[in-house]
Amino acid sequence: MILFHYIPGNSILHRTNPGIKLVIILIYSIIIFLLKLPFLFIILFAELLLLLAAKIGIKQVMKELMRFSLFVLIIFMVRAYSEGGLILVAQVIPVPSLPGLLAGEYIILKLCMVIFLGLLLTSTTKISQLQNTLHSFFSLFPFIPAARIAALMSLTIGSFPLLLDKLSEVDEARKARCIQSNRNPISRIISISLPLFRHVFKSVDDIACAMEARCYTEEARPLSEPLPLKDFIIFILSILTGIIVLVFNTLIP
Amino acid sequence: MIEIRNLVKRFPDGTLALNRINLTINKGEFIVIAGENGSGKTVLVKHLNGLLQPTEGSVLLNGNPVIKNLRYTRQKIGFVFQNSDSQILGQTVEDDVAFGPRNLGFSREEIKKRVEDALIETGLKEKKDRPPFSLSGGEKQRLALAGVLAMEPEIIVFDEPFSHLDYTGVKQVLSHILLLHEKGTTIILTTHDLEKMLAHATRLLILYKGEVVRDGKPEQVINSVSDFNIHKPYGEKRQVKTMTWLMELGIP
Repeated sequence: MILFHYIPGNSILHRTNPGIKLVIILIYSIIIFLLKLPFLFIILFAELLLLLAAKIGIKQVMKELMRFSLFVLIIFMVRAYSEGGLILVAQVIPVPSLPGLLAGEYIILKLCMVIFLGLLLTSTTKISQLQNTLHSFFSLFPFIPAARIAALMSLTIGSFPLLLDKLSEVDEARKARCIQSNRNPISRIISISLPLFRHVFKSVDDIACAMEARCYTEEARPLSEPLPLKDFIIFILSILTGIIVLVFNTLIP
Repeated sequence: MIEIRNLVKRFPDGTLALNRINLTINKGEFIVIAGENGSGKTVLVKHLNGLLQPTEGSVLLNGNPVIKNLRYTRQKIGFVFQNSDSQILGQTVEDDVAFGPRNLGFSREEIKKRVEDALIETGLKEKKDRPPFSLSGGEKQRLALAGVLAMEPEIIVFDEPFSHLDYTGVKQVLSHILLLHEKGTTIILTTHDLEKMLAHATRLLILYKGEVVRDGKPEQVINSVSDFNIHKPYGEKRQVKTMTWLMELGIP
């Protein structure tokens, strides 16, 4: 499983300062929700290029994202049915309108693009780098326990791959014992959720123990990343590109 | 030196895991703590660096209670867990080894030096940029050891270090343990499988139902291990000096 795991490499994203990456990705996550279709495709193309450059297997990512297809379907349905407009089929059974379907597709595309942005960050940034960045950022504000917040956020982000790995293990164990023959959805949900949480709590306990044994402290020395001119230029260029795209976006109907 | 005085550990469900343990572990020893599953081996060693706290009694390191200064204790007593996967805390090999030194607040240069030394010592320098989860079982256990070595402890506890390893992995890890012992590090190792390394131990301690039932030189204790559900290794003519998986390397 590669989703949300750090993938070592030497791409431009790997070499860029984690703080700069984080800010750019946050800004673009907002920009994506303001863009119209043609510009969305331009950003999507750029994301795919960066994924390729970072040697993140797009096919594998898509395969792993399929695990969340139920979640995606629910978002699609909610969006599709909440849109008015032309009804596609007579009201024998409730069906969404054409604009509803398009709106549903639109929101899913944007959601996938934001996930790709998240992937670009997590796959090319070590948790320790992220923690240092967050620590430096929160230290700017007085009366905020920067070290604690940074540690909590990095542990939370770091636990995603753990959760996904455990999900994968439990799912394989269920399949090996013919879960597909069980048609009861509640029983299926219970059969995955209970062992998953038991595994996760056990793993969290083990990790906490290992951290204690190695003198874990919130105030661990942050190995702050230098901010070379190159990274600053990348930041300026990214922001300028975002502004230009937004301006052109307003020009099309 | 570690002193354990009247150590009792009772869990909240009433289970008595350790019952009146009294023990002294001296500098430079290679002590093997053996016992069947559930005999209390892991519970005992987790008290040594304060990962568990006694219900009664105390554990002293160089005369000071370990729970009074956990940071000092954990720097002096490194702990290599049974499951190496659960002690991986970094996203690359190098990052994982740096975890301890960073927590100890060393300078950037000192951290770099300690990490490099530990990686060279465990033979993982070439793999410093690899994600730890891509390593083999033996390499992961060596990584766990590197993470501990970077903290430069005087005593290292190995909790069932061979349980997830194949033949090659056992030999690699055992060689490192022996090198550390030769350099003067005190080794405390728990196992229920004596045939892999008993030849190198200076002392064998048998734990049975939470109590120390035998404690002495391996040659003195070995004949009674089967009484406590521990397999007595065959070895050559059942001699302790042949109970090792490093025989073909000419060790001992």
